[in-house]
Amino acid sequence: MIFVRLYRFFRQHKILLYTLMILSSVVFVFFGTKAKFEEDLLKLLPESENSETALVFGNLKIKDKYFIQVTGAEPDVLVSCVDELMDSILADETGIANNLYRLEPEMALGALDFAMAHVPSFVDTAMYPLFDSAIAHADKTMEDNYNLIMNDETGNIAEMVSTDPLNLRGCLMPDISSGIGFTLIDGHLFSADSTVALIFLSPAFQSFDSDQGGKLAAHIDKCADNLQKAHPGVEVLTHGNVVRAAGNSHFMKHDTFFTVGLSLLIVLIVLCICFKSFNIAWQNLLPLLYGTFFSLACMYWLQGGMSLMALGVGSVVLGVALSYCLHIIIHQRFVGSVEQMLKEESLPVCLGCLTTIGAFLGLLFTQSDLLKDFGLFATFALIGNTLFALVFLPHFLHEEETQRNEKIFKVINKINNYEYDRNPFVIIGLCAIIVIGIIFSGRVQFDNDLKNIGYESDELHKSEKLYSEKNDHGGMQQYYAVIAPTLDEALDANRKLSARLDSLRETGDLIAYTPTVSMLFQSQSEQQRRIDAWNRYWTPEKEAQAMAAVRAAAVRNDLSPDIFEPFKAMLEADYEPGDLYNSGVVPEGLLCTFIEESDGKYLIFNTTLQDPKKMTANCDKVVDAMPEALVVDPFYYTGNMITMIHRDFNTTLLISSIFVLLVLLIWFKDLVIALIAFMPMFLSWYVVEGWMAIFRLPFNLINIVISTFIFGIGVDYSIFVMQGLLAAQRKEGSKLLEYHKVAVFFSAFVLIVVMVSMLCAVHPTIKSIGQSAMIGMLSTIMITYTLQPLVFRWVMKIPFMKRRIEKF
Amino acid sequence: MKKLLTIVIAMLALSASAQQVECHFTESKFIKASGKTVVAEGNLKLSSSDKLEMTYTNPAGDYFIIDGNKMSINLRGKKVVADTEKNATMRTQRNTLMNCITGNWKKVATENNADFSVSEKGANKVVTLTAKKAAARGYSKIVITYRKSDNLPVELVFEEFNGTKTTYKMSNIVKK
Repeated sequence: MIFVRLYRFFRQHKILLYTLMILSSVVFVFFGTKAKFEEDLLKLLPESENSETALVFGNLKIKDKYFIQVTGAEPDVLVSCVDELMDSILADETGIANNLYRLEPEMALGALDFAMAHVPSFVDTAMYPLFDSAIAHADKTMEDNYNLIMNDETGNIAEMVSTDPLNLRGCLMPDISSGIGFTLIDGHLFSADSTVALIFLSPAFQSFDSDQGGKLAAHIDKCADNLQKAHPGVEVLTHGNVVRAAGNSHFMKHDTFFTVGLSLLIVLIVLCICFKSFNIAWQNLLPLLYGTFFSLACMYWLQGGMSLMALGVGSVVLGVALSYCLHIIIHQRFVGSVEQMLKEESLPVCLGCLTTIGAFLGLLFTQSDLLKDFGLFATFALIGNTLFALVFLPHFLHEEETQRNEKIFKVINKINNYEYDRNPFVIIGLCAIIVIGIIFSGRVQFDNDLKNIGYESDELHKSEKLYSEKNDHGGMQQYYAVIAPTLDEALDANRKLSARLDSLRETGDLIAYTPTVSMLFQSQSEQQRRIDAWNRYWTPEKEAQAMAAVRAAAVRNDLSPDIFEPFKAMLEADYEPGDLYNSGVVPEGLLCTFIEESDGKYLIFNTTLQDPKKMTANCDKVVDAMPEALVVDPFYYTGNMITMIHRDFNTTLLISSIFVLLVLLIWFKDLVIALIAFMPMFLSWYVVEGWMAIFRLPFNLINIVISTFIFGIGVDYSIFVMQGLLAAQRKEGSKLLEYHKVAVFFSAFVLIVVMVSMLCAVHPTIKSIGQSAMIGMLSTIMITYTLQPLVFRWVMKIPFMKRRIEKF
Repeated sequence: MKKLLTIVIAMLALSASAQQVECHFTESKFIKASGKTVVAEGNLKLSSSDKLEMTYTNPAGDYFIIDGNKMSINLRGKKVVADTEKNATMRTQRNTLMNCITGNWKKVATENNADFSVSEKGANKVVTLTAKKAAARGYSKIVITYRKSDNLPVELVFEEFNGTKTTYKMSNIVKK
């Protein structure tokens, strides 16, 4: 027995033992604390082979937009509140790439200037028939012009009319303002009904960078709180992926700390009371800490860090790890000899650890980074913990320390020694639970909406709802984009996408769509085509006709015909294609909602409004089928992947089952015994599935990993109980089953405490793990305590089997 | 000797451009389209070659300030703060006004793509800039009247292509 030999060796070389332990601990703590944590739900998904899809999932600022809404006062108050809020937010610009909350008049002047210099670029060839009509209706337009001019006190309108007496601007971009969709009050962005002032921030990081996102969200929340205190009645609401990710990360950390901390505290207090010793607390804690830092250090060495969510889910593993320490410590306290404990415990503990690791390692066969992270973290944590428990911990166990609280142990023994396998009510009840579980197991739902895995606060929901009501008319915004290596190619592709989206609007698949980008931005070739069309249309004859119509109408309406020289100059001017994207005319905060350059590629976005009730697969599919077009919703691409992972996972479970069964077969050297030991984990999986279906608790990508945990713990319990049953059958010691059952009892107690604390968590993922694990744990314990000894007893009634088992 | 002369001229030019000027002005905008004339008045202060403040007393509160590349305008309640480096129209407007006031009318002609002629009228020098080509925006004609004694403007007339004409008349000019 290697661990017994190691124990003897280190007993003779204590300095070497302590040096090794301290050195390795320092190394693991040093590198473990250097591990970086990232919180990215999308890490759950397999890496996309489509680089364009990966790009959409990656660096886009548009999906990371931070929405701030200020409401609860008159518009003029809201204007000053927004200025005040933005002043305080921008006092620390860290993490903010750009913002959009007001449109400066300067921007309008710049835009007008650019438009005047590139008029033909904005004229779609389909608009020329409207120009003919405008020339024909010069008289009516001039009448309106007269009224406008006579009411003009500054000369600005006169300037506009003298440049465009035929109101051609009315033909050009009638829907531009509706395309932007906001009301402007004193230059500030408001919802259409002027009750909500709007602020859009683009973070200088990705929304799933929870560290940066958390800092930005905390800064904005603080500024918002100050504003709300200074202006009672004013309410500031925030939402967006950054807010979502920050909340998710906060509650993941909070819940991990809460569940691990609280359950550890309860478990250690109970253990100290049961064994009348404080030593048992640190004896359990040390291997746990060693295993955790060993695992974190390994994760750091392997990949620099791990997913924060995997760490949160990994708190379940700490419960399993603790149960190995408990087996060792409790057994030592029963036998009073470290060497004997090692002789009797090292193999089952190693076997339990090996099968549990086997179950967790199954996760490495999945394509999901997060599940792989979890599998690796769990594996390393169990290895580190078990090695410490078998190599270092025995040297801290005192052979004379065997005291325990007899009253409590009397109760535990009463529970443990009760012959559940001989109580027909318990057997029938358990069989009923199993049968019902098997019947309903096929009906368990799998929630493949990744959005449901993350935490969303009520405030976030409220903000999203308000934004949707005020700006989206109850519809839901969906972005579509084109992607191309150059801006011109992207703009050309966007024209095709625009046409397709427009037809979807006409068929009612979209509630609203305005091709704002297509109206404002044109490729150089398209602009040249339009300039050519302009020159073809405005022949000298057409110019003369238009000017004659304008002059005649002016005279008829008491206006001087001379004031329209700017219009003539506009028609006669030579034009060249412009570059609105790089002109600096459109502010960065607005521009990035239209066009974004990312990883050397250009993306052009189109915002649509869809009915959330029929939000639609149809539009998404139509767009997705177009070359160069994308659905700017990472979750759109997740549906198939999640189904794939689900299928993938069933294969993983099969591989893990075969692995565990093989290990059991090798260990027990008998197929029937191996199958009996395998039974609790096999049946408990069906119980979990069936009863989750009955309680309408859906599986998701995270809590499904709990199946591996149930596998692991189920095997552990059955190994220990089977070991005890075999020892009793072979007359090797009837007490072994009792010792093991006490250890299993404490292990189950530890895990149930962890599960209950998880049920109290706020984060939906941790809570869902608690729910499914609780069902799994209870069924595993009941099957191990009842059906395993029952079936074993039946098998032992077969003379051949009895002889065979007793012979080993 | 030639080098020395160049340095002296440069120094003189610098001292001239650095001069501070304050005066009262009246602004009269004739809108040809409606036949209306909008009148305003205020005080003008040229602190340096790139800082000009026009503070209106009528309508009170309005202002037009050029400070380096920044142009701040508050006219009839419409506020604009523009970076003239980024906005071509504003840049032209800034340079035209500053160059008119500081006597750099040749630069004004270049900036506005205009021909120029200079004539004398008593104690004043009249510079007339005429656009070479009709355009949708800009000035068709600019007339600057400088006081010959110190080359400071006493009257500026900006005529747009649509006939709108804005006239600034300076009085109580004080050189500091």
